[in-house]
Amino acid sequence: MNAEGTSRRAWGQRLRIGALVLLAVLISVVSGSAQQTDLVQERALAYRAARSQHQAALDAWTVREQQWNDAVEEHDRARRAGDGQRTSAALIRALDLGRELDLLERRVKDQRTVLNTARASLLAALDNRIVSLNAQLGGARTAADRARLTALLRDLENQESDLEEEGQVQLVAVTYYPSIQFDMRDTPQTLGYKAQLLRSKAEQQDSVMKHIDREIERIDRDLRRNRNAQSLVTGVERYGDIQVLVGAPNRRTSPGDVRARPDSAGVARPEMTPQQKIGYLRLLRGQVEAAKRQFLQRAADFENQARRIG
Amino acid sequence: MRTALGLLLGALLVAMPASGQNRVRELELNGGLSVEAYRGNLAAATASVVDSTDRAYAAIGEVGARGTVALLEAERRWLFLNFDAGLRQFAAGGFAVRDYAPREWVGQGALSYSELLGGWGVATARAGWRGRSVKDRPPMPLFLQPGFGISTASLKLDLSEIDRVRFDVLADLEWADYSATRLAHQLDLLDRRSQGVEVGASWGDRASVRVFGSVRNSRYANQMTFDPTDPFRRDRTVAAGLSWSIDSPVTADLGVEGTVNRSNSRRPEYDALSARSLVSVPLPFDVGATLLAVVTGKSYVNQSDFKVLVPGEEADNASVLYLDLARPIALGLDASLRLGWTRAEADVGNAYFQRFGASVLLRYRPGGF
Repeated sequence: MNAEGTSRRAWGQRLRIGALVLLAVLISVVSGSAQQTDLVQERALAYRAARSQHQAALDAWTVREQQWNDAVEEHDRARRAGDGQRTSAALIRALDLGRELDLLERRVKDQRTVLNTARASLLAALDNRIVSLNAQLGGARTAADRARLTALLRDLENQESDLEEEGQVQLVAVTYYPSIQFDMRDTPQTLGYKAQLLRSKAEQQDSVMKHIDREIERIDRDLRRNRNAQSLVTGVERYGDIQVLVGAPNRRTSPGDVRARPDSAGVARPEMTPQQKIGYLRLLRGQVEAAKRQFLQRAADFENQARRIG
Repeated sequence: MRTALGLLLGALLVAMPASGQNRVRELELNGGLSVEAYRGNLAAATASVVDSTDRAYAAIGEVGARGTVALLEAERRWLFLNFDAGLRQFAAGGFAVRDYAPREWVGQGALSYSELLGGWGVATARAGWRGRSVKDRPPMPLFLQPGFGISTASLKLDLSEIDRVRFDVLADLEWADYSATRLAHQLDLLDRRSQGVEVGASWGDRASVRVFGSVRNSRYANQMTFDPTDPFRRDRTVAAGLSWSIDSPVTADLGVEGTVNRSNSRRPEYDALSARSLVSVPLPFDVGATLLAVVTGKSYVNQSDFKVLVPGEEADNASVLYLDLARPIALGLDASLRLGWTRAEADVGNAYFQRFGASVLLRYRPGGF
């Protein structure tokens, strides 16, 4: 009796342990699956947020690029008309917009990095989910389960493929003068016109670059003369060697005030130093050169396309 | 003085590494060697020693730094630190009593805060200090400014253009404290407090003209008038001037300024006229020539045998001429040859001292500032 009773208790204990283990396994499988679903959802949300931020940065860049392009064109027109004041105003505006364009381009790049990271995380989560669903599909007992899991798998694979495609599209750099684009309705003739327009834009960039180079040279010459004058004055005033000027004793001109100047948005900032102006002119030149390269590349693409269609 | 210089350099070092070129708007380090000769056997009221020579000479070495750091550069408001400091060591000879080795420490720093006032213009508040210290100050004819500390505070309004004319108004306060020594206690006579207002109008873009007028009240707490009802010297200085400047194709700044100084003390009442020109032109072989000339004429209203002026302090008749030939020799490094001549009237009327100098200087601008 005692032996029988002991054996029954042992069996009962084993059954209880087995039931607990089974429960634990079930809970872990169910929660793991739920966690995977949550992770995909969470990363999909993060990806959508990153994508909209990237799009916002890109839109801001495009708006500024249009203003920048207008300023560069206005500068070229004013220069051809020989209007010095208009040329100078357009150049200042182009310089301001060039700086803003540069900042926005950096923001686009930063957002693109965030977007790429979010995409890679989402792809990894989708991969894990697909592997897990494939395992479930292998063990599915009913046709209804198999159909449901297959549909889920197809949906996830489509999501994955869309993400990869989006990644390819977003690799393209920011586009200058984006209003000239390929259209499905384009004939060889319209493609030729578009190529011609882009080539004339590239020539315009050449002329702007030449002017910027001359401007940099001019400021550099002025800067050197100014520095020579400033160094002489500060050098002799520093030790009071020139303090025989009239006025209150020991009066000395205070270091130059920094005047205000309005930027392209009408907001006053401290006046640029000549060195800063040279730096911004170089930045503008780089942007104009990048735009020119894009125009020539896109013109060649349009011409190739026209040849293919024609 | 050295503490002040240390503070300035410390501020620069703090500002520099943080964000480099965006914060340092300008930076120049310079140094050089000079030889100078001095002529004139003169008395100087504030020199603690006298010497019978009328010819002296000196070899001089100097180092210095100046620059502007943007501490805040935001839309509509900005805060800048300007600094300028230097050390000059003389090895002077030719004196009858002994040779001298004067050393000058000089420095100045100013914090200026500007803010846009809607569409009206820009207001700039400035607080600054400058000072100098001279060890082993020699007798005439080697004239060196005495040591002092001067604090200033000012408020300036640059108004927006009206019919292409820009107006500016400046109000300032100044506290000057001269470093009197046991043997030259009369330097304390120059201690003063003053307040002034200057109004200017300028127009033109590449070539600009500025006319200005100013009034300044100065009070010398250590100078007696011998009038018991009004015992301390009080001056009122009215000045007016005109300057013309151009940036391209040559750099030029020409100006003339007239001054009328009236006082409750008869001795320092004077009328003066000063002309100044600064012209910098490019020459072949990348050489830039810069000429600085200042001519000052002064006449006292009341002739007096009793004068306690410091030569150069309250301007007497003087002519100053400097020619600088500079050429870049490496990236950010310029070398210059500087020739200078000064002829100034001392505190004894019609007695002039002269200074001739030649210097070789190097100017370095790190990081392309």
